[in-house]
Amino acid sequence: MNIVSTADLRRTYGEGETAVHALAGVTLSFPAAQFTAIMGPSGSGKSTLMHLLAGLDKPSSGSVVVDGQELAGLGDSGLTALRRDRLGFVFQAFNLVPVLTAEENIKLPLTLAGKQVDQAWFDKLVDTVGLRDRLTHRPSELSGGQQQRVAVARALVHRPAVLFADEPTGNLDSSSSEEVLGLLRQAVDEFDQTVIMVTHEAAAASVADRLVVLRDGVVVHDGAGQDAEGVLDLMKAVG
Amino acid sequence: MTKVALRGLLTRKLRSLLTGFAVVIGVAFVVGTLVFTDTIDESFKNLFERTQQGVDVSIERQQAVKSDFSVPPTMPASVLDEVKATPGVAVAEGGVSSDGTLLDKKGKVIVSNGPPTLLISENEEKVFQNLDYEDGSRPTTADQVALDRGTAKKFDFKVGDKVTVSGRAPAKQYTVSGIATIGGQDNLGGARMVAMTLPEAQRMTGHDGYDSISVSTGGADPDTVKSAITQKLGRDYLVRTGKEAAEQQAQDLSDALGFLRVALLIFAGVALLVGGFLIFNTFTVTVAQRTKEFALLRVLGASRGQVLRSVLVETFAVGLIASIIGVLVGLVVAPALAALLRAGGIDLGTTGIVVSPATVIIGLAIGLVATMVSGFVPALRATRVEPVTAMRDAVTPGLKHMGTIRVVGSGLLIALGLVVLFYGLFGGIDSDGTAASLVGLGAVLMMFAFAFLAPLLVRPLARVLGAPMVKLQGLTGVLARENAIRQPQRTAVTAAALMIGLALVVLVSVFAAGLKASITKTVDDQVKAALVVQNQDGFSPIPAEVVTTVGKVPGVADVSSMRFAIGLYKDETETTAVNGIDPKTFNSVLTLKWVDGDASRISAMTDTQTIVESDWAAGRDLKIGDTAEFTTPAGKQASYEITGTFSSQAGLTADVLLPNTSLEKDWEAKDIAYAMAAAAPGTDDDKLAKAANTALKGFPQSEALTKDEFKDNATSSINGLLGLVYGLLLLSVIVALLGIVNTLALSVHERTRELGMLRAVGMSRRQVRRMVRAESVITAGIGAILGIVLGVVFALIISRPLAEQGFVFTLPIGTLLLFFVLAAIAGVVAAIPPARRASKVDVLRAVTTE
Repeated sequence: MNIVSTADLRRTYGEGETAVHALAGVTLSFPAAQFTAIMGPSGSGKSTLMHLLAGLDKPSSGSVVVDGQELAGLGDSGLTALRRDRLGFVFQAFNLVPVLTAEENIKLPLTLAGKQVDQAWFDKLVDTVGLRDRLTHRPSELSGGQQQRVAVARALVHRPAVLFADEPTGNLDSSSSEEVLGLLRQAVDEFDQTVIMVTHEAAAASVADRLVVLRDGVVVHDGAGQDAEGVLDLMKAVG
Repeated sequence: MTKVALRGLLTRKLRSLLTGFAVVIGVAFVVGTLVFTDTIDESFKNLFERTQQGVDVSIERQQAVKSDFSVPPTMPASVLDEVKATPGVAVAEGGVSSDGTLLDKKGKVIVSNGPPTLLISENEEKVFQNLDYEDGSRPTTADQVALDRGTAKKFDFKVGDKVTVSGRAPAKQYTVSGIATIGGQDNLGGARMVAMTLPEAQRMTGHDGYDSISVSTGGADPDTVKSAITQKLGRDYLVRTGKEAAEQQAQDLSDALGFLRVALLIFAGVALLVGGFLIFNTFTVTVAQRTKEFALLRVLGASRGQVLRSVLVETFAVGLIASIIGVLVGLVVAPALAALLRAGGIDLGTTGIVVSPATVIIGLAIGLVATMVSGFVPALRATRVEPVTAMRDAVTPGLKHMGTIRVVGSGLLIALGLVVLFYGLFGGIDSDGTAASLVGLGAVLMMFAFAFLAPLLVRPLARVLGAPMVKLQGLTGVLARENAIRQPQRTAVTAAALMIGLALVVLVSVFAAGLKASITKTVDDQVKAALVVQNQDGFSPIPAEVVTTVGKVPGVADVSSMRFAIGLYKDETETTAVNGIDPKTFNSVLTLKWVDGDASRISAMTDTQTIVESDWAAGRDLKIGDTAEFTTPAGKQASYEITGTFSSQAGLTADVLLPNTSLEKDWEAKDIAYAMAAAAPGTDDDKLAKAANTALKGFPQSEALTKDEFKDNATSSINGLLGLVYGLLLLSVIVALLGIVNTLALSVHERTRELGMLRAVGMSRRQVRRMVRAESVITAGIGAILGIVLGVVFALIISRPLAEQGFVFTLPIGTLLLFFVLAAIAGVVAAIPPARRASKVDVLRAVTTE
């Protein structure tokens, strides 16, 4: 079953001769429990694609269906509810609320929705991300890697239909990067989560099951995951 | 660098606008006050010049005792003959003028807290006639009066209408013969004017003779004639040329209304002080947010001095533009102030505006200085930005560990403030003005101390205030509370701005509550009489006949009348208030709080004896048996033997009590200030008051009040004044609320990304708005708590010297709670624009890494 699918998705900025076609017709499907990495050079449209998939931006034409829901028909409150209940986010930076503790940050989507916390699931998540002894700390008291692990836990706490990660390792050193990527991998393997990650790092992309490469707003490669070297070769080939 | 500063200003239009607005309000208030008072001065000057037109020499009796709004005593009619017989005098005419009472068309007395109703005699001699009849003509019979156009318009009187007037003589119905203007003005500075023929005016006012004599020299040199008359009449008479008289009259009035200028300027100063906090906060936040920009400039080679200048130029530009707008707005404020005073019952009847160059310069200077002073510290902070910051990720610095410095610093400031305050209150400073300035300075120091300490109080107060929010709205409440604490300094300064306005509001309301309580207590404790008979306006005199009339009402056992006068003790320059009493009946209407003596001293009082207030006596080293010597308004030197001392409570009586007979003889106090009537046993007070008021039909200006009504009257007049003060302080509170809007807007701007992230993970727009609103309410709440505490502390301290005079310190808990609730509501209102902005944050832009 496809959790996320798009049909001839287009996004154009500006008008007439100066128009920029960030996405020029993308049709993709993302089945459940799959880890997809979306790659591409700067300006390829990979971030635009992700924003459209997550309902953060509106397409110029085409459709996005997330978890059986056509996004085009949703207003702000509908999208807000969708994000809160069905999606999880991990960003490159500005991921946590500085005035809340790690625990409060993890529970944020549930608190906002006014929902009960599944304590067993929460405990399992906390142990998975290895932050049991950091729960009462505020983001400023955590390392960059720890902060991003909190973000991953938050993105999973409400068992979203799909987890979006936007350059999740962009600000991290290599060992922290590995930890975070390992967590995302674990989410797919152990918790049957669907993960869609945008990255420009070959090492990051190498943990994915599937690799989608964009260039000038169109899909130029869509295939199985590769190891880091394979990814680099592929990028060279399509670039 | 200047270009950088000014460009920066343009890109932050909204912020500059809000900052500037605080300055605009303060400057507008100052300029409005100056324009308003200048307008008053100018219109009175014109008015008196007009009333003295055709008058070459003006003669009055000397006022041995002069005070604000006091009038010269009446001179005998024979003086006119002496003047007429003086060489150089071509035409001379005497006139009278006195306060009176006018009834509106429904027969109700026209009462005001401001200018009185004046009964004047219209001049016979053409040369002195200075009323311009717009309709009808001058009164020529004893049954005619002319009215000023202002009064005619306001109360709808036309020529031929009947109008009832009373003075010292009982009320009488007249026909309006004419409607007049004076020098193009509707009336004499808001006073209602009733012009009568001379004999009728003399009869109605009871002024047996003339209050002034006007002389025309028919071309002869006024100064020569003036000296001739002076020589003839001697030093008991004040002889001036018409020009001198006009100038002096205008000056006296301007001085008498000086308190108004001072009071209004104080309120303007408070608004500016609050505005200063707002400017300080805005610039501090702006500088913090632009850390990277400054660092970049420094990397590119800008010196510290250049950065400082750049920020100061920006400050100056904001100050200048805002001050110019402030001056312009001030021109609109002036009539608004007049309207506000009118609403408070003080109608000065001014029209037009007078803008002197000094006003404009003062307005601009004050606005610029306030802006520059408030903006200097933030500008200095900008220079401390290290160039390396440009390379690093911007981190907004939290509160530095300044706890100890803040505690010690504010402790010292509070101590200093208290010392100054107490010195002002108890330092035995002779000049009231200096003492008041010291009290004000002490209060301002304490306000600064509180503001300086406030960042440390933000955390605990936000926790307390945030508790109900957390309970009510959960996460958004927690976030609001934590956001308020996040930048304690910013929240503190914002709250402190509200604190200042609110502290003064609280001070005034606590004071008013105390005054009301002390009046109630004093009246309950000391007034034995069932009825108080007084003028409807509460302070003008009543005719002597009123006393005899009330005395005849069945059920009235005793009536005791009080007179009032001011005199000078020995060679003092400040006047002393004196009450005339009826020794025979006094004890049946009032009980004094005796320090030395008892009631029998009153009943045994002779014309050469006096009973005085104990503090008054102590201050002059007087004791029982000593002689107190006064200069009376009649110019006499009178001495009285002190036979007892009492303690004055809530100003129920003056400091010096004399028999009415002495007051009439030595002080020429002909009018009764008020009277009290004791009821025969078993009489119902309400019924007695009704009977007395029926008997007083002929004296519509007088009313008989029961004890309870008297208390209500006194307290409601305090409420009226309270309303006026609240109105004036409202401006400061509005400035403080703008400060909350500004601070929140800045915080929202600063947290765009965080808000975007919150929205991305599922926070709804409503939740965002609730969060911002709760932060605003917490900030306002902190300001309210600080303000209420500070206000109560001020009231406690400042009321200390009054405690002996029966001031009952009362905490109006209900009112204080109301202020707190209003502050919270104001917080909600102030949050509307920033909350909207926060809820509209573009999620995509917020989460996209640049």
